[in-house]
Amino acid sequence: MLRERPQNARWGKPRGRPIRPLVYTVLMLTTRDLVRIALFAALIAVMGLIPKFDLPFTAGVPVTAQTLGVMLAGLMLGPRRGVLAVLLFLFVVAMGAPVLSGGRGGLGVFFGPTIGFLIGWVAGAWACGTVFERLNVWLPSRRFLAALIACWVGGIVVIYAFGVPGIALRTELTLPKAAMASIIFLPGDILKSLIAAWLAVRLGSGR
Amino acid sequence: MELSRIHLTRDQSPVLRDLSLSLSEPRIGLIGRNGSGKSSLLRLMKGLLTADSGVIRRPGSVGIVFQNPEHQLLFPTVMEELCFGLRERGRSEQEARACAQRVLRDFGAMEFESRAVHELSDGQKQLLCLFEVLVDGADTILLDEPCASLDLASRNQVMRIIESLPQQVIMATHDLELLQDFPRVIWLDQGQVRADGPADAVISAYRHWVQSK
Amino acid sequence: MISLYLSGQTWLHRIPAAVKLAGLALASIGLLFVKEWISLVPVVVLLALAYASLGRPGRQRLFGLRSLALLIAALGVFQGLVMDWNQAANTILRLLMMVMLADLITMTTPLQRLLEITSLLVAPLDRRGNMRRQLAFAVALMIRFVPLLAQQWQAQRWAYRARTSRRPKPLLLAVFLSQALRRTDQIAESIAAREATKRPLG
Repeated sequence: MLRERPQNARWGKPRGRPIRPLVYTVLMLTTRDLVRIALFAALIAVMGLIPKFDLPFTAGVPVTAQTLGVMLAGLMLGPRRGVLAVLLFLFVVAMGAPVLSGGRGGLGVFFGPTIGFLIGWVAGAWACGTVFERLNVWLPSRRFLAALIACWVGGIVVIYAFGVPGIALRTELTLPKAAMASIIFLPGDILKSLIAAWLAVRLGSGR
Repeated sequence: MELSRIHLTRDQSPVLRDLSLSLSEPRIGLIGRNGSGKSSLLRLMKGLLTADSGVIRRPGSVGIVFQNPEHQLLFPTVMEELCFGLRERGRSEQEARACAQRVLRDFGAMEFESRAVHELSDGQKQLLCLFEVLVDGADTILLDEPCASLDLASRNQVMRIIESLPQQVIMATHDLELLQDFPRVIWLDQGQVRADGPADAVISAYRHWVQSK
Repeated sequence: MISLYLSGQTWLHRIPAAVKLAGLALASIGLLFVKEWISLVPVVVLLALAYASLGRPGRQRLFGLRSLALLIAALGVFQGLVMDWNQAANTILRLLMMVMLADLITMTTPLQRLLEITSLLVAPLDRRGNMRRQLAFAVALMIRFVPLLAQQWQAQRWAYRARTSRRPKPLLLAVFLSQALRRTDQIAESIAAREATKRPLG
């Protein structure tokens, strides 16, 4: 059987004639790609405006509805474009837009304790996308399961794998202690992964 | 419905000031510029906003339909959408379905029953929002620019249904034509009633004022 | 779209952006060598004064940092309890200092300058200017759409609340996202179609 790249079934069947790339670069992004990346970055930003779920904890928690946006970016745009969407989002945050959850933004955020999680988002989007793609090939009829596992791996494991050491590095807490501090956000993240997986499946298969 | 001396502020600025209204006519129009407080008033009447002071008396239940149907529809199928409100209130699936079917039948829209929401036209979607409110058993129906997102044909379709409703209808709109046959129109300006009376008088006063600016 | 930049002509504004950014980089490196938290206290105080020197907006901004400060403090307290109070104090002050410094720079450096500097840094990798053009396009588009999507969220929230007194948000979130994603698809198609018609040879 010909080994081909899985069809971009996430976004429905490609329609019409191929769009000429806006610019031919190493990244090979078409205009349509760029627009989708920009729009997903906007979506992640808007997720930051949604107040936190019913968790009683406040303070500038790094884990909010935004992680859901990150997971979706990976699932629906694929690893490469998903990463670009998250990077674009972080770039705009660095430039001073207050779109990080809690109305935060600017360079200050990148020096705070949550920097690990932000880097984790980039890796997480990539992981979500890659795992989803692979699993779709191996388990072709179990898309929800594939998406869910992709979210757990990319949206949770990978993000925490960067976030927790990030906290440890920034605060000199040991890893296990840093992990302890972050564990409370896990239930929220699991809920998010369910939503993301459900959405990816519902919207990916041509509606 | 009665409102007495309502004060409402949002984001630290006053939106409604010392507003008192007695709303008993079957059809009431609400006009005014953007920012005059129309939307806030409707939301207040529905109970989505609470006044800082003043009293509201609602003799029956109130339903509201917003401008863009896409923002109101939650479910993929018509029946799910219609039954949601009643199910939320604890009624059984059969009761809710029966109620939904009854409303559809009353308006000659039985064909909606088996449809998926995304198949409907814009006008039909807005009608669905209206039907939803009826299934939930509203005695008063509030409409916040219900036809603003619709083309002419859809607008007519929706207005025809609205005209035939036995419930009290309070409609905010920029489309003054729609209010021509309304027994009462209220002109809201900066949170206060600027004119209140029969449609032709208030509307022409409003038109006059807008043109003189 | 609101930005965290505060327009004005304070002394901080007058320092060239490149100098400020270089200072930031040096500070973060320099901090690696500081072991005693005591020496950080005057620095943090000075930074707070710098905020105050920017007038009322500066003080408001300082107040606005409180949620982040709370997080840092919480982590610090946690660290003090499970490890060492000296280290905890070090952590708290270090983080506060860097966050405040970086934030001061964000407040007093116009977006334009930041973009220019980014452009310069990226230039060696991007000789034809393609990446920069794409980035500019993407940033503009994103900024355009954030308020649109936010407005959609607000509208859907009102409509949802009008129908149910239930708090659970997951349904609303799912509905919002489906609608937003559908919309982004439509928008992507129409913009791409415009591009395609500008260059008819595919």
